[in-house]
Amino acid sequence: MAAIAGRGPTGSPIRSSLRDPRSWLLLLTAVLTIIDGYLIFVVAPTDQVLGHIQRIFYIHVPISILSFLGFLVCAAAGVGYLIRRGEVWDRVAHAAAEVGVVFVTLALITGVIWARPVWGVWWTWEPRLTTTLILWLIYVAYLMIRHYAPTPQQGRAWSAVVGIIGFVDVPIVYYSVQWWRSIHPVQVIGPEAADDALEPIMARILVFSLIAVLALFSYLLLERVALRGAEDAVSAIRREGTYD
Amino acid sequence: MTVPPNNLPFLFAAFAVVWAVFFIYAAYMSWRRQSVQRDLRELQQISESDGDPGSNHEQRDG
Repeated sequence: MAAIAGRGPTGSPIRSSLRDPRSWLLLLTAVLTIIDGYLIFVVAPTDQVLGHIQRIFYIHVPISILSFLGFLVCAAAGVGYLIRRGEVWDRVAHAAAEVGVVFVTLALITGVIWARPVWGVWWTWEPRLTTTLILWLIYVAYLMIRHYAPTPQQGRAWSAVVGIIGFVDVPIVYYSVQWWRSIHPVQVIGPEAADDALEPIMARILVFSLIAVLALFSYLLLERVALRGAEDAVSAIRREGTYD
Repeated sequence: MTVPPNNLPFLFAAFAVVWAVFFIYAAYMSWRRQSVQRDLRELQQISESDGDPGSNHEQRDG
């Protein structure tokens, strides 16, 4: 239990933090983020047509991709939970869904801020935006089901099913710009992206941004899983001893 | 040569929102973890003192 509390029986909090890989991941994230900011604002060329607003792309695209990863982890862990019924699977699925919702929320917000100066409107019901909003609603529903289910066991099982079925929307979001006539730019990364979709310098900065955001995503996911573990430990002790 | 449009306020708004949301979410998790750890230590001490009648409940931290 001392390990869950984050402090060894004799170790200081600082020493304990240094032993925790999450502390090092947070430090790495901070360093990568500072370098990424320099690359985006200083090194990246200014788009002659769109102007400075094009730089949103270096954060909007990685955040969108990492939200997909969050929902993939949620769906995979949901399958693991339904097969094995292990609490660790459920913790990972819940954490991934919550972090995924944070990321897809930011993808929508940055998309809206991009749309106003470029398209002249804050929001339009074009396929990419609409399918992304549906994705957001699905995983907000996932979190609400966990909260409002009659019992925790039902909440876990029902939300696992929603997490798995909801993932079907992820490829629909990705391919929406190809399947339907759309004003959203086509893919610049992934299996359907053209080789010359980006200038080499822009592609390299985008990849670096993706790595920086991946580090942040990993940190938030591990932190959320650890938090869920500690919350479960407290609940278990309260159930056993009725210490309320 | 084309002069690119000046839309810097939108760019800064986007980055400000992104980092504000990440910071608030990380701070929320850190606050929540400290709170849960405090509960855990208290419950641990209560359960240990229940098993040891001679122990002193006044020594609980938090």
